[in-house]
Amino acid sequence: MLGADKALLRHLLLIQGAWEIGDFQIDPRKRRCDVWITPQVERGWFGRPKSAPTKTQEYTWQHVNLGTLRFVLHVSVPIDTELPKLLWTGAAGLPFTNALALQVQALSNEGVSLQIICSAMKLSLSDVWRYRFAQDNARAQGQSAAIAAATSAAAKPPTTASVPTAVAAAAATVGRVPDASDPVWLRLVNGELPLDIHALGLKLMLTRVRSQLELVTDESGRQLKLRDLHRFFLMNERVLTHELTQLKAG
Amino acid sequence: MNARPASSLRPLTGSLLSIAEAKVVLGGGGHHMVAGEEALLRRLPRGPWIGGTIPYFMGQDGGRTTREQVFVTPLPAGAGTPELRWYDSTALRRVCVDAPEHGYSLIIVPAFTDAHSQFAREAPHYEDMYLKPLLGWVAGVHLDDLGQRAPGVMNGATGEFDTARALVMHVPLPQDQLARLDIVNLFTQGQGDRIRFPTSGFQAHDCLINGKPANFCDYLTSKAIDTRLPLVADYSGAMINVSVKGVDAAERRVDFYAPVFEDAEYRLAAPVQDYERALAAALPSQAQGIAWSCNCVLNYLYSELEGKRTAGITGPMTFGEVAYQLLNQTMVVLTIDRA
Repeated sequence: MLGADKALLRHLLLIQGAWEIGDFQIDPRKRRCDVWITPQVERGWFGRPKSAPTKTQEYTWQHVNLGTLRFVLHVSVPIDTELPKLLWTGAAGLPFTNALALQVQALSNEGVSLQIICSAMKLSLSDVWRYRFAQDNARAQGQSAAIAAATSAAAKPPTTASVPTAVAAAAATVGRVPDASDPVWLRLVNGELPLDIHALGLKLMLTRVRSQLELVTDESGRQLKLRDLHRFFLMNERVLTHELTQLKAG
Repeated sequence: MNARPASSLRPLTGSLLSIAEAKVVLGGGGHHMVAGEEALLRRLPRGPWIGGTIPYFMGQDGGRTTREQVFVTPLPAGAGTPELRWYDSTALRRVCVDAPEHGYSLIIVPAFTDAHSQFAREAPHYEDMYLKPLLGWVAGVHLDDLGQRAPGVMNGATGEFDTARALVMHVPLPQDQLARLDIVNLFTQGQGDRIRFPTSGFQAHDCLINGKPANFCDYLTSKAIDTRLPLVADYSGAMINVSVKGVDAAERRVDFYAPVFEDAEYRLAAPVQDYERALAAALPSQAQGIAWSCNCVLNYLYSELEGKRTAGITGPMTFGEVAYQLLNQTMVVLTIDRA
């Protein structure tokens, strides 16, 4: 029975090739399933390994939920081996598997706030923040690349149509802030549109976005930063009268 | 007994009061911020106030160090009940998410704690940072008590005193009022060398001076630089200071009161000759609308502000100022605009 469960899990988690499920544990009360994944070992008679076990390092990542179960994967990777770029692996030091990071990134790219992401996906705010912080500092770009490599045919970004975005609601009610897709945001960040800025928050925000964009190389990451800036204007429209006048004229 | 202070003489940004006077003010309704020695904070009545330890002030009669009075600022409110919430160093990451959509948040962080360190390093990257006004200060102690007493913060509503966690009062405002946060920094970048640091942090060994590798301690020592002048970075027109805490020649290390960031370019500040006069000239013309302020204890000490006034604006002189992120040697002001 246990073998059948492992085979099912292997199928559900899209684990293929030279990897196997070493163990798993379900906590029904916490609605959590821990899965230990190890390199596949060639076995001889009576299931004995044919060769001595290699030294491994264990990484732990939260994976996408399956049904109402929260999945936490513990993946043992041979030491001195590069982390495999798979949907069910992640980046060292980051909280999510590539598959889960993909979903978080897709929602972020749509302008969904961190609070709503956490609430809708039942994720800890601290973990999502760690992921976003790493993205801001380019540490997660390896993960972005891994996501791109691992997802060409597999996981598709979740639809955001059902997510209630406060941003979208706000955007519908204001008229003075250019649309998020307006090229004016890129011109502002690039310094092509010099603004006389009065608002302290905008000075600091703009500096942060410019600094982050120097490190972000992928287009979705750049769009995310521009959306952050757009959201800042939406939320602070009333204190940005001086700046918005220049923005509209630019 | 005449404990009631002459309210007409009280600046909007707050006043130094005796304990008896403070009890009357705090008992009179509204929300307040209180700054003072721990023993004094513990003697105040329960109520909706947020407190932090510090004995240095810009009072209504000028700069003053006192262990006998507390500084009380009435906080603008009026739309819903402000919320007092504790944050440890991990929870701090959500402080801006918790902030009201329309209003402001006042934070007090005890100095030399994990919360202080974490906030200093990571605040610029907090979710929703800069979207909503976050202001406040770092609680400290009398310099004679350094190493003997711990800075702390106090929840006036419960009487809980804490030397590790930050305390925040999230204050919603009516739609016809708008919180505007600003800084008054008299320091500007001097004309000297361009300085960059390879890593962010409260300490520096290596740096780049005009693009060439150097040791920052050696640089300061060899040039006999006055370390009362902060490093200044230009954040799209906002001058952001980092003050030097100490120079350890033996370790060839420089310590700072706030972290330097690897993505910023610094220059040493141009000297300010007369802080008192320069500040009066630098304040915006609408200074009368300022509702809250704090300034830095280093400005108090280095500019010898004891007994001097800072253009009628009062407040605690603190171990660090918060205008969104941690600042040094800077006056922070909150203005409430009314539609």
